[in-house]
Amino acid sequence: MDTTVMVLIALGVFLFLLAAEMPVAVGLAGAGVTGLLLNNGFEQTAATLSSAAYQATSTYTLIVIPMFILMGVLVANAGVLGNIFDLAARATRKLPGGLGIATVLSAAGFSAVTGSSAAAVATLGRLCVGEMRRHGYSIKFAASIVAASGTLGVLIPPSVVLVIYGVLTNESVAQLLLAAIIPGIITAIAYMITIVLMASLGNSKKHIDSEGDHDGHPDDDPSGGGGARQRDVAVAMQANEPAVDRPVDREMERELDQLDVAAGPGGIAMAKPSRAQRLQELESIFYIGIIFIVVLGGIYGGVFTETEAGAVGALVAVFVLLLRSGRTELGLKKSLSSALRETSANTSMLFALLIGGSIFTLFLVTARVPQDLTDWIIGLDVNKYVVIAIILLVLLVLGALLDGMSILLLTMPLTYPLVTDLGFSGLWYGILAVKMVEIGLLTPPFGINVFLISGVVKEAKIEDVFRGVVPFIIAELCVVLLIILVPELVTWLPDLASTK
Amino acid sequence: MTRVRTIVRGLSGALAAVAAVALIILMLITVADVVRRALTDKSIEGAIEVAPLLLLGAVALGLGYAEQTLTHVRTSLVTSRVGLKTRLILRSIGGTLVTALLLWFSWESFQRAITAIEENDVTPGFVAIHTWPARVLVPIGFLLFALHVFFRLYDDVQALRKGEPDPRELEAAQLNDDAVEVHA
Repeated sequence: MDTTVMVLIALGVFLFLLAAEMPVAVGLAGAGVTGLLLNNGFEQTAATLSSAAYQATSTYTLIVIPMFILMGVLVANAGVLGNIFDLAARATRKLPGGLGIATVLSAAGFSAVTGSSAAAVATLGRLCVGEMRRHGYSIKFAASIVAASGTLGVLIPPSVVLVIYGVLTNESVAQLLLAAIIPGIITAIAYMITIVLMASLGNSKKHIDSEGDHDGHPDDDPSGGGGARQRDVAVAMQANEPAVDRPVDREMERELDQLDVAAGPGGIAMAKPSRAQRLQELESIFYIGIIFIVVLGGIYGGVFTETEAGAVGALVAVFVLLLRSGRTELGLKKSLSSALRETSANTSMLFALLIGGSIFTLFLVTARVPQDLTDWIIGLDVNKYVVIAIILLVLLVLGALLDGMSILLLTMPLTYPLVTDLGFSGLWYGILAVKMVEIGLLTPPFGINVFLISGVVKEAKIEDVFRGVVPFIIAELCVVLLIILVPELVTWLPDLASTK
Repeated sequence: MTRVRTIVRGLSGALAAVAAVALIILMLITVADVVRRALTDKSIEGAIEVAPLLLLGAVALGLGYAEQTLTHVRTSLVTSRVGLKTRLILRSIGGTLVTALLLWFSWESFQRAITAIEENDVTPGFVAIHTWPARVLVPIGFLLFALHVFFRLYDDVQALRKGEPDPRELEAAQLNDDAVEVHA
């Protein structure tokens, strides 16, 4: 049978199983099995199935995946994010959209130890949206900020998606993690600029609105300041309740005069934290910092390999959970058992994808599809940047339909050899591919972060959030363009590390 | 059917707990290896060889639980846009194919595990460790995975025959309640 027909039949099986709401992992395996049956016959397909799980799983370097998952889940359950958000909120209170920026900073910090977008959105959603609402942010704006901020977990190391890319392409995971640092920071900055622009350039009434202005001062928005509202919010925060319809009478104003309130001219009013609160915040920053330094410092200091880094990071995260057990939402026993169950299920889910993907890849390789495709595209003699643009467009479209891991499993066997044959760096392509996965987390109809935030914050309507994240998608595309134009943003750090 | 389902659910949960223990052991062995190497410049014998087997075991043992809790990635992109009957028919055909595929997976990996026992398969590397204890878990994992898919297939076919509402919606609500219970 002709290879093209075989590939089309295999893809048809994959798409049908996907449409029938079957697990993507089994969809990939089904497509691979169909292709192998057509190309290699029954005996060889049966032999592949008999050892697929063993072949795809029993590799020492892969233990980093469950360890990073465990580390992230443990840190998420340790409840350090709340303190980081408080600290970031105070640091950015004078800026327009200060709480939004604080959300991005919290997500960046959280991503530095979890590598999970879903964990970031779920935790930030519970924590930050309420706070932003209390300060007059529209639900659409607040939810969009959280959905977009959550994507940082995919890129900022340690990222499970990057590890999978490394496994699929044989690129060095250590180099990939380094390569992601600068693009991760640039993305966070791009999000922050977007928030500032949205909050200050004529949109403040739309995004950060009079819902938070309860004293009747129309010009009292976060970019303009305003004493009475600030005091109102300060009182509300002291009382730990929303500022809605809270009258500011003379007695209250006298109370406020006695309060130590710190309010910036362009931001929100915040009561000064107690010493104990400050200590808690510093403690949380210390935990996040220590895990990040242990993981990345250990790898690049030559103490352990990137494979072992996950295990060391997970153990440090266990200690963090133990130390904070009295202050976690669930308590030590429930936090630990919930973290372990979640890790177990997520590990099996990811490896099921890897097993399915390995069968699909085996079919493609035995049918010589990657080589034929590469030869064909190189034979077209088009500019190599046009090829990259087409590939990124395909990844973008797939990102709207599938989750990131499935996209990598489906496309990397085909596109990685092509891109590297065209002379591009595999690290650079990895970061670009992961950026596309990031954008896919925000685009309809499968923008998982949007669904997650709508699940966590019931009043956030899915269609509103999809509209609200558009400026962040534009910011993401600008970062992608920047990375394409200046590849050194990706390759500089790995090159620096390899020359030392 | 309800009894079988309860047993399979209980077994999946228990095996997921064992998988979690395997992951903790994996973490401790890896860290111990790092510490020993830093202190004595020597690795723990067999640590590198046993780690992938622990990983394989953990992955296999969690497969059923991941399907039970709907953790396996899937999309309702098409099914959410079609009528109930079409949705149930689509899912029934897909469920039948997937159950068959997973049972085939289970059967073939069972045969391979038997061969590993008969031929005394060992890991490559400095320390030879028998692979069969991890390999025998693979067919169990795929079997549990297949059973959970089959249960959903059964529900879909029943709903189709009796004209009942979408069983997946009830299940999602139940899973949500379970999650709330954990947080309570």
